[in-house]
Amino acid sequence: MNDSQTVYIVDDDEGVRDGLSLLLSTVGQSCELYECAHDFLDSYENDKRGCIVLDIRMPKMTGLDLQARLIEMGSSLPIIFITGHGDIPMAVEAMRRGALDFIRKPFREHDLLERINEALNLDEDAHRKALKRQELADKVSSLSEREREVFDKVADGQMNKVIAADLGISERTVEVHRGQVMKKLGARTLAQLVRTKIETQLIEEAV
Amino acid sequence: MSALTAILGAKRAYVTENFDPGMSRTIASWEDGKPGPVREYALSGTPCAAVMSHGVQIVDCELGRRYSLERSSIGFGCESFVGSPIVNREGEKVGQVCVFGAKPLRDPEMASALVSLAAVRVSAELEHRQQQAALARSEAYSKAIVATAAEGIITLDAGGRIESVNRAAEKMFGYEARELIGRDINVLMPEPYRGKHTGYIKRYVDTGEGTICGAGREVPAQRKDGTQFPIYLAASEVVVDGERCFAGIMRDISEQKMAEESREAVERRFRAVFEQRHQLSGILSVEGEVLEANRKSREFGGVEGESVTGRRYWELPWWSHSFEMQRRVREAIQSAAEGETVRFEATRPRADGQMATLDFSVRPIMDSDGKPVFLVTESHDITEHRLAEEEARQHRARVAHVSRLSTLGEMAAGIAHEINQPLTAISLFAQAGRRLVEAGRFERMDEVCHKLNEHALRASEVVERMQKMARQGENIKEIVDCNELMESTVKLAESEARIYDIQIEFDRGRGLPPVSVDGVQIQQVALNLLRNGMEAMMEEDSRNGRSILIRTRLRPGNEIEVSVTDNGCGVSQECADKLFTPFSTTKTSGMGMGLSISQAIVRAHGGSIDFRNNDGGGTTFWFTLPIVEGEALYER
Repeated sequence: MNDSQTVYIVDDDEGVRDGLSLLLSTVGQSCELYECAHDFLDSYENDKRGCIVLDIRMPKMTGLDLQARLIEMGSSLPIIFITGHGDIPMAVEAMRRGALDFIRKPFREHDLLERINEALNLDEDAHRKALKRQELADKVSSLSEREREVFDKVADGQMNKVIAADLGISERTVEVHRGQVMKKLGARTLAQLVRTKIETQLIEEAV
Repeated sequence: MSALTAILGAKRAYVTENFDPGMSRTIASWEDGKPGPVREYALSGTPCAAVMSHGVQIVDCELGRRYSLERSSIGFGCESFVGSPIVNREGEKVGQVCVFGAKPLRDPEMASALVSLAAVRVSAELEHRQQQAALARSEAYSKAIVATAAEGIITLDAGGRIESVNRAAEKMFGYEARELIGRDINVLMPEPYRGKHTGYIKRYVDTGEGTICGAGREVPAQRKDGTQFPIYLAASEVVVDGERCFAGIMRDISEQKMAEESREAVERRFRAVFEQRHQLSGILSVEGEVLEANRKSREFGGVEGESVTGRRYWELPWWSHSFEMQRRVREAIQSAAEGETVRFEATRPRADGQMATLDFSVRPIMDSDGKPVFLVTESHDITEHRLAEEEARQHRARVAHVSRLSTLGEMAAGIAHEINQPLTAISLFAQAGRRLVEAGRFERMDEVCHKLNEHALRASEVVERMQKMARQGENIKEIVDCNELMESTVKLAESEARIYDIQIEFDRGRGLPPVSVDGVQIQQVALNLLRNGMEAMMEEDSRNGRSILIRTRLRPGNEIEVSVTDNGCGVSQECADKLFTPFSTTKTSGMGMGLSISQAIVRAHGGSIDFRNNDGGGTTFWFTLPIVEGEALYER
């Protein structure tokens, strides 16, 4: 378990909240308790890390409503839905919207803790990927305009000679730019450079 | 008297009678050849005194020398005296015959014999006269009595012909006496008696057949004008000089008869009403003694009239099954004797032994001073009524129960959730507890166990609430606090409210008096209204929260109102008309029985149920319950 990760518990039932909180404390997992969806939304920031254990049925705002709002807000916190009902249509809807899982009350601790772990790992992965993406984006954005043009064409597999002709510069100058790109992006081989390019493209497409 | 004086050559002769002691008075006197005046004189000092004391006295000469008669009105200046006492039938000397002579007696013995003989004759004569006088007096009295008597008196001869008619009889029959005398008595009788009576008396006289005398009796009579009237007649038979005759004394009893008849009519009417009543009625003395018990009540009790009259009402066999009943009846009679009317539901066995329920009352009948003079008991057999009521009640209870079960079925998901929550908590605490134990961290175990218990109880409360609703119900009314009842209803409804994401708000009225209700049924009504309200709100947007309001309050007129207000779609006019009709529903699930059963329940509790669409949208359904009045509360 990760100290920087928190399990956010949103359930209108105090007993369930307290029980979850106690159980998680026995495995050293920190958590925060919310009585209703509104309370959670009020304190929500996008940089929160961990996962949400969310009761699907609650007065005023349901778990599904909260999930929809979080998606709108670009949240990536994994959500484990919990419910007292075998409410299939709601479960399907929740899963379709990307919920990690759907657990029926009462829970087996093994299932619950495993799911929470999984969620936290997901969150961790996502976090790490996000960091990596950020790192890559930072590197790419540190390239000059000319270096960026050279990087795109090298990664496209064009020969230095062709690039030089395209850009109307000397082949030597292309080589200097290419060395600068390799250095800035931390790529030692052409293959590494190509992969970085693909990753960058994926990030750009995703945005 | 004159003969006596002539024979004896006497100067004076007297017949005397004694009136006061020692005083005498002449009743006949002959003095100096002619009748003399009435003389009163004292016997003392006269030869007469000796006659009264010793009988016949003779003084043949020298009377003046022997008696000093100077001051006496009789015998002064006479020479001789002969006196003999007059003795009546009883042997009393009532007077004497005495003769005074002017010369000495020539033959004293003869004189004495003559005077004695005269005395005997006078005695006889006097007796006769007295009798005559008595007879005359008696006759005069009789005549006066007959003439002035209020009763009509008519005498008949042996042939049945009228001999005399007194004034009262004249008036009674409208004839004058002279019109009647000599006519047959049957002229005073109406047909058909007139014909039958002709010759009746004659036949009686001749043959001794029939009777006419003896105790008085009522007979019909006819006036001169032909009208008939009843008389009371007492006849007697008299024999005068060997001849039979008859006297009748009669009284016009038409008025008395009319009074009697009207009294009888009243009595008959009373009997008819009293006896024929469908109710069990009795009349008691203020002490509770049975004076009358009508036919229905005797039949009901399986007794004869005589066996109940005169007995204390509460000691009658039909109360003997229960000491408690006897006590209540006795107390009721005591209260009635003090002027109160008491009514309660009593039980007593019928003649066939079946126990019956009676609407029993006892009320006093007052005299003009408002004092109870007797008591009237009335019992109306309401067994069938009660049975029918009971049957209807049971039917209602069964329908209500089925409906509750159906409601519970519809609520199953919510209830399952409601139980699942504490179970989840229990499961979580138990698992956490086990981990704490494994880790040797016992310090939080106290808290864990406390929580386990808390949530187990919470779960059992849900189960209990549900069981209550599922129970058949003994249909027993209990005194409850309406707010408490609604509190648990709200909890029950909350299980569903959670599913529908609806908040139930409960506005508790303050200072509500208790109500006497079948708690489960009233909860059922409120639950039904809450569920209907929630269902009506399903279509509404839930983003900003949906809530339903249940409210209790005291209404003027000693009622508690429970209202449920939703923000739902309202009730359309079309639905409103058949809202309380069984099996009418706009829902896809349910039987459409909810409101109809709710209405039956509320009405059975003496309340009413209705709804109104609110201006701002939504509907308010409400029902009322009568509050328990002070006395009824203490009885419990």
